Amino acid sequence: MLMHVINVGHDVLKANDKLAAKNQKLLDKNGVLAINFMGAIGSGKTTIIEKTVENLGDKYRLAVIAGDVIADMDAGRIAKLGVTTIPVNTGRECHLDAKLVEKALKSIDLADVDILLMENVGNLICPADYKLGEHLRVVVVSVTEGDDIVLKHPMIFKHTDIAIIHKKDLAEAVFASAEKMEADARHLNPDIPVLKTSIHDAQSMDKWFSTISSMADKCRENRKD
Amino acid sequence: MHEYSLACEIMDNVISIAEENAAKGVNSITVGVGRLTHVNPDQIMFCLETLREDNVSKGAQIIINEIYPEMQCECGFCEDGKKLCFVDDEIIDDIRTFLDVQCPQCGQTMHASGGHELVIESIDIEQ
Repeated sequence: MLMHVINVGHDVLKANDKLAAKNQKLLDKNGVLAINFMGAIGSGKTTIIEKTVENLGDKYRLAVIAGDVIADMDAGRIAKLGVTTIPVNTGRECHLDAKLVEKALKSIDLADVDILLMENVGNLICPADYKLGEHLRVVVVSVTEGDDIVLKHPMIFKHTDIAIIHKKDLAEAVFASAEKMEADARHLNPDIPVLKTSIHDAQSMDKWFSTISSMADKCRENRKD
Repeated sequence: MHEYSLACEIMDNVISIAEENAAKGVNSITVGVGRLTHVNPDQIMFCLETLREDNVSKGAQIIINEIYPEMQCECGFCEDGKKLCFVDDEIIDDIRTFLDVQCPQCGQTMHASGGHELVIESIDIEQ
């Protein structure tokens, strides 16, 4: 019997990164700004997406990929606002991946979209390892998760572009400090923009909308070029 | 579950490589797991051991190598991340070990490079 060692060197996670780069190329070609919303169950991702659709829907053409393990409640909530919404069920999986997004992109007329909002599965762990093709990674955490949530999940904060600390109006009721969470996020990722938001504080939400608007405008300009 | 689907993907790859090489059996599968991924080495080992039944890799030994990042500083100082994981004989199994490391030469915060892999390194087949 002949024994033979085959050097393989195949990186299973890098295969996802390659597919994500392909997705991003397709989005770039169409001048679409893609945002990956990551965060725990109940952090407020769906609500922030709803508010974003309501506020930017007149100015930009939006589409949403709504990831969930099995249900389509979130997709239903967003679709009610009249925006193109593609529900993606991950089945056993705890995160969206580039392959699922590639498939979902086929159902969207990208030439007709300025901003693509992708809601990841409620989880602060696995989404950190999987790129989707997004231009912007946003982590949403709420004060109700406890103000040690940031330090408990360092990798997702290390590899994200914006941190949103949501439901700041509830901090006192749940004995949490939004300021501590902001400081923890900056400790892990010194240059990260941190937005402390509440849907009951219009000014705080406006900061988020203007951040997204200026990025989408840049993508639009690139499309004109 | 993260590890189960990753193990399925690894096993699909192993089976097709074994078939391409007309293998009668697989003696061992060596997988490298980056320390900065959220992949749990024990769980991936368990899943691969479960999946190796009833196919060409039945009975194959599963070998898991942990891949450590290299710690790099802007001043040019570099160090093997593995060194940070041992205090005396005790192994520290915590991602945070690599996140807040001061450079012993200049005191700046060091950057972890690599450690994000999940690699099928090699398979040992019988022909």
